[in-house]
Amino acid sequence: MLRKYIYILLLAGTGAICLPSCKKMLDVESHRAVAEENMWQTKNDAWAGSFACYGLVRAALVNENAYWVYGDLRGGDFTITKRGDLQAVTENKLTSNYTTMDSWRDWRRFYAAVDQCNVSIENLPKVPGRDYRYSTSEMKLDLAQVRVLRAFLYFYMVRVWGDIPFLTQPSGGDFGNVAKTDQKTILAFCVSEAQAAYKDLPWRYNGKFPEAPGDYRGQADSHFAGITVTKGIALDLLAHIYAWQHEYEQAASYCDQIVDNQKSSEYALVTTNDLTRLDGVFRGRTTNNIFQVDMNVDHAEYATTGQLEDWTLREPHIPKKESEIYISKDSIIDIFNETGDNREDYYFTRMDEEHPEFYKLKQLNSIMTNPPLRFYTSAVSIYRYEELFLLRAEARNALGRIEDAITDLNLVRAQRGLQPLASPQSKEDLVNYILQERRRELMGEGWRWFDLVRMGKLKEYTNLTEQDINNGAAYWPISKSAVQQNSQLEQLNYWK
Amino acid sequence: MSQRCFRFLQTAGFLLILVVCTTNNIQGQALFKQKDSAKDGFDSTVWLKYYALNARDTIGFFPNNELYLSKDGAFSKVNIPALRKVPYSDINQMLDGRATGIRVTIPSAEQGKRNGAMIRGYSNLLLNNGDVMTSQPTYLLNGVPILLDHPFAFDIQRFDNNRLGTENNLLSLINQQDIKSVTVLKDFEASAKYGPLAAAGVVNIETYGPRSGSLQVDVNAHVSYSQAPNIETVSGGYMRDFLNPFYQKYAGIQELQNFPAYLADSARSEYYGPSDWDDLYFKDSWSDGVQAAISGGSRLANFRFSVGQTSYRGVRDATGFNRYTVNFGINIMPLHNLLITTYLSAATMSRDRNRFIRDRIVDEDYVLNLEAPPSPNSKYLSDYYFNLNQSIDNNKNNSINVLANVQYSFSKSIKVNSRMGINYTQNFRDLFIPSTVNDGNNFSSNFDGFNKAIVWDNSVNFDKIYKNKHHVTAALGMYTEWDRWDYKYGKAYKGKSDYIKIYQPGDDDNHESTSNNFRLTANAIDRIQSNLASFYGNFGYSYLEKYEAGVYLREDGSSNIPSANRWLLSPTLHAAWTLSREDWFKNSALSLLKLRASMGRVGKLLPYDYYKAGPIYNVEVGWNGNPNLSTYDAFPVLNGSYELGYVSEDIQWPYVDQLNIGADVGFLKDRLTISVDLYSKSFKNLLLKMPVMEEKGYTGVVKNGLQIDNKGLEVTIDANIIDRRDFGWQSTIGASTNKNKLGALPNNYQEIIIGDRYFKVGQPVDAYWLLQNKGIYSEESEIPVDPATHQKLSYQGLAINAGDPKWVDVNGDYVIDDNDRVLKGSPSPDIFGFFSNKFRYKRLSLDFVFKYSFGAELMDQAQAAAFDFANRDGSDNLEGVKEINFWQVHKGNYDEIPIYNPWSTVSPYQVNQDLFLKDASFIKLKSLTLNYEFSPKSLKKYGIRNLDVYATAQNLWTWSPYKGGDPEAVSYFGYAEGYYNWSYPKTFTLGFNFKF
Repeated sequence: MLRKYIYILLLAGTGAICLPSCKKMLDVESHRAVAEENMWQTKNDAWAGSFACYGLVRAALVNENAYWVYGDLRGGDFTITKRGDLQAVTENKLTSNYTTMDSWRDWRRFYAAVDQCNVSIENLPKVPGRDYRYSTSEMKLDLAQVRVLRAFLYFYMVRVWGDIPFLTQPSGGDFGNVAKTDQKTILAFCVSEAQAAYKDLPWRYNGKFPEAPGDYRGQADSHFAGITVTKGIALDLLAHIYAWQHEYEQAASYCDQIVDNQKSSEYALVTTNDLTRLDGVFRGRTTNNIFQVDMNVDHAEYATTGQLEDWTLREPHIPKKESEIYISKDSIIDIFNETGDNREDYYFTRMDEEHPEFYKLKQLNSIMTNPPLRFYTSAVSIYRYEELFLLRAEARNALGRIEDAITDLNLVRAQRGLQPLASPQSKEDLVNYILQERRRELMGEGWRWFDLVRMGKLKEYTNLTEQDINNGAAYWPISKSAVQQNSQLEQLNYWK
Repeated sequence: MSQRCFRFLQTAGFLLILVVCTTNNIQGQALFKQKDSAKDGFDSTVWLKYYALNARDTIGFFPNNELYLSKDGAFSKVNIPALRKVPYSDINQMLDGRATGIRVTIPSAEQGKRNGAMIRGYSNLLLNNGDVMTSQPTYLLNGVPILLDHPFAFDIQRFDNNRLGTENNLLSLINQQDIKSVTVLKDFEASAKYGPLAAAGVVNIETYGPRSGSLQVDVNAHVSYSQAPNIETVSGGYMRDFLNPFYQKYAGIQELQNFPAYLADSARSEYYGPSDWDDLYFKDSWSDGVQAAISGGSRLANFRFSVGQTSYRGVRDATGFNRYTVNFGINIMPLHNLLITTYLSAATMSRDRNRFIRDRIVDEDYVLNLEAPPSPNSKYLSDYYFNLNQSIDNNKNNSINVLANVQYSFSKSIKVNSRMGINYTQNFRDLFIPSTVNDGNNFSSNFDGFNKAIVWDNSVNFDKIYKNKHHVTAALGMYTEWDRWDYKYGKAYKGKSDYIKIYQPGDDDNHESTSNNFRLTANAIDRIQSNLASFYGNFGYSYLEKYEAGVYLREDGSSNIPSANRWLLSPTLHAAWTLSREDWFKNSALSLLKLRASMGRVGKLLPYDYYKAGPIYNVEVGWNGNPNLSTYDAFPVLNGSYELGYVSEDIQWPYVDQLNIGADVGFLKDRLTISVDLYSKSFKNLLLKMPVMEEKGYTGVVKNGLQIDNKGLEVTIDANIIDRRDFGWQSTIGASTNKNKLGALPNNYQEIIIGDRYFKVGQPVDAYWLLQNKGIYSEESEIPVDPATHQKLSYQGLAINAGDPKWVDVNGDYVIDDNDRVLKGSPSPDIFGFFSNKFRYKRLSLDFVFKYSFGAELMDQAQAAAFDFANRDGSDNLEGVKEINFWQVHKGNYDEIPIYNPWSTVSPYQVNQDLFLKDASFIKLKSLTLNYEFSPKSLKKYGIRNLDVYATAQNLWTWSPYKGGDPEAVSYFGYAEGYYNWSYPKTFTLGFNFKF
């Protein structure tokens, strides 16, 4: 009998000890991820969440060197040594079967960045109420940056894929299919976003502008120059969106706004030496860059892939006998066809060999050299001051302001040692001069293909016909996986 | 240095034992003379039975968990006495070809490297190496789970190859000579009591425990000789001759310009000289092992202590490992009804890894310049090896297992049991690669991690026989388990000197630390915890041992499941009918006929801890080739889990339903026994990242709803064919089959494409997805043209030209694409098993084991890679790597592969086409042992109880239609990677088992 009681007691005892402690032992928080309910509570969350937008923009642009594949490789100035996938891009065989080709066709990384922007735009305004250290004015500044980033992303995607699905709200677990939206609607949205964000942005992060008083995030101006979104970036984006739609009136006027505020922005033209040298424009953080997607080498932001150097450099600069791509001697002679051009010397090296080496981008930081470690640190230069003048020249020319256009063009030409272009010029000739100048100046900076499209020169420089272009040949095909998962998507006719 | 020291200590310890045991022998016997059990060799197992402790316990129980295991259900036991004479380095190797229902996959015969096994089919989709790691069965060491390595470190790795850390096989940390039994528990009657641990099957390993009786010393030793394989080496000329036909037929100017530089100049002795690399790479090797144990004691206190040293040396690339083990177990009975047992074991292994360039790239996360392969000429190669030998690669695992059990018996039928166990494994790797073999920059890293499982089990057990007829058992208990994986990892590039072989992390203030620039270092820390709490009850009833039935109920709570769905109730029922005990049956020819059936459910644990609160944020701003960037402009970031997938709010327990029907039949007084099991095992509600609309940014949504169905049959036939005094012949045949199919997908999807895999409900989950190859288009005119559009047949919109493959246009739309791929072949065999025989003549016996497998296919990736040189040569990724082993004759049907245009954009030599699908059937003679047992009578004079001397040969003979290599040595996914997949060398062993 007694035993029975002991037995029951024991059992009850164990149960009593165990039951409450069970709950405790089973409520283990993950050490590896932050749950939804714990996010967007503090200033740190807001900082990390909004800068993740930049991080994802960077990931989307540099994944498998997409930025240069879309912009430069397809443009045709580069010659491929042997990689079949790169060759296929230059031959416009964009449906071919390479894993890299899959990732270039695929826009998911861009939409991940868009979603992070959407989530941030929804949640940032909630944070000041939850954490007093995060002021509403700081929130507004972060929010404005994210809005411009999202506009930039959509504009970039429209240029690559044409009409695309358009989402401005966070996904929140709803994965219902969405059809494509006309690119005009999307670009109109981008314009209104950039315009709205403009008023909350400073020209610089030097603490002297009311939109960003004091040290932003505890860092000096030099930490953010060209990196975080400014008024200049918003305006440059607006100018480009209008130019893309051939609304050159507005494009020119936004360019003017940037140039007219040079005192605030401190933007400056760059010498060819500073453009190409180590720690020059492609390290950035200077007044030469309006917008760069950054790699901060001091904080171990570097990569073995994701920079153009990975494809263009070779021995002795890195241990590789043959680069993946180069500009052939014929092309160099063809492109740098004017005397006095000092870029040829800076852009290329080993001219005595069969394949010259494209040496414009070479950000092998001093800590990575001798012997070289193949970690590259170059930033993606999106907009810089020379490009702005070339854009304005294009806009002014389109508006018939030939003289003004020539002035802008000559500004850049003078910087590169070229004689000023004589005036007057016919509008058509000037278009070609501007295009040629962009080709030389922005080589390897992701512009060529988009310039050909925008300036209507595809038929001239590629095998595409008017009909091909109408069928979507200027765009990239949509990836298989995107088409499979979204029944509302239709492949462009040209790529069917 | 430390190794030598260890060896010294070990030898010293061994001598000490010998001294102790010889001096104490008499004393030990004196201690034990008091009671009835004072017979020599008296096993405490038997002794325990006097106390009627035979109720069904829960999870394993020392000293002798076999005692408490249900003897019933479907299980397969390895023949340990035979195995003790065949040296193997891990548990999976011991199970391979020696048990039914388990399929062992050993991608490479690198001794001591992690490998895999599968009990009764797939427990999940295997999409990457991480899935392989989380799909392994549970291995119990004396009832405590061995916590295997977690794939989480893959998160910071660019290549899905070796995981960071040692990649040592944690199943190698047990000395073979300490193992008393290895049992594969297959159905839920045998394994449900392990709850969620039993989801993917259980391998129960039991080591020898303490025994009462006079002191006994066991010494087991062996020495093995492994023979390096004969390789036909080649140099530049052979490779050039292989490439030439392609260049002659298809190359344009650009292709000719890109002719591999290392082959271009036949005057270069580096590549065109003698090819004698094999002299440096292969080496016949000697392995050895010695293990000694001492055991004995009184019935109130007894013990066992053992130490062991084993080395396993491979024949390639100076690989192999050394292991030291110590075991100590003690049983004491301080009170009449109180039994306390403890068991402690410790092991350390250090492994010399292979030195593949590929693996080095994976370790460093840095792609080296791959334009020129290593020279096949030993003159040049010896420099390379000299430099390589300056590297450091300390690769060490240490483990400790602790078990303590307290049992109190209130009466003959009621007892309370409490058990605590700890399994702790440390994983430690120091790696330094000198600049001389690393493109001029050295690399150092270290990994320090541990796995820890703590289990605690308390139960009350009841066991009584009423009226000599009704046998009732019952148990009630609770079980808790705390699992944790942890690591710290640091790496540094470009150290200042090759003489500084460690790195000291710098900091913000001191960028230039003494060893490496702070900016060229990276550190990572990660941790995963998983806790499990369970309550269980068991009730069993048997009538005259004729009719048995039982029910096991269990409630499990896991910390990795959202709190709303945290608890899962899982029942198991079983019943058996022993017909041969019926009166009306007794005169039949059958000596045994037992029918059994079990049906049950257990939960399946989730390997990750972030599924419990819906959507999550983490750090994922890297990209292909740079997965672990965590900042932007130096600011830390936190983003939606776009790469990982969107985590649904309502994650539930996945679970496993299993039905097993079995029969045990004996003929001729059990001289012939047949055991048959038929099962259906379904893994239900598994998690899968379902691809979703990409425009939300996510790679997918993690959801419940995946189901995998496995069905199969297992047969074991044991025949004691001749059993005379002087001569005997015993034969065993084991056969297993398993058919898997995809039962369901989340969202009721019927099909899904994940990467280059395709899954369709009703189809196997491991089938390859292939284009069907029908030859070559030699002429432009042979290429079909769509009569409707006048468009030529294309490959994903790219025109197919002469010199491209003739692929079957399954849907007839004149476009070859994924819609024309078919599910064909799989790495699962239709039937596999073993055939073992034992001949005995007087005291001499001969044992041999054949292993066979029929109906599996492999994808010959190595062959595809050789032909796909145009895309691979010198490319900046793992596909571009050529190892020293590259310089050997192509093996297999290379002549039968058409000469396509290798530069064609349609990738004519892509591996996923049936051109590279090969039959991987085989029959192997795994081992052959000749043993002589000395007569106990004559030994007695010398005080020796037992002495066996044996000679064993392993891997003597293989038959297979596959000629490209070892058909078994393929990746977990069925891809043969050529020289990366090592086959086991022929090994000859001499050894003895000695008892006194």
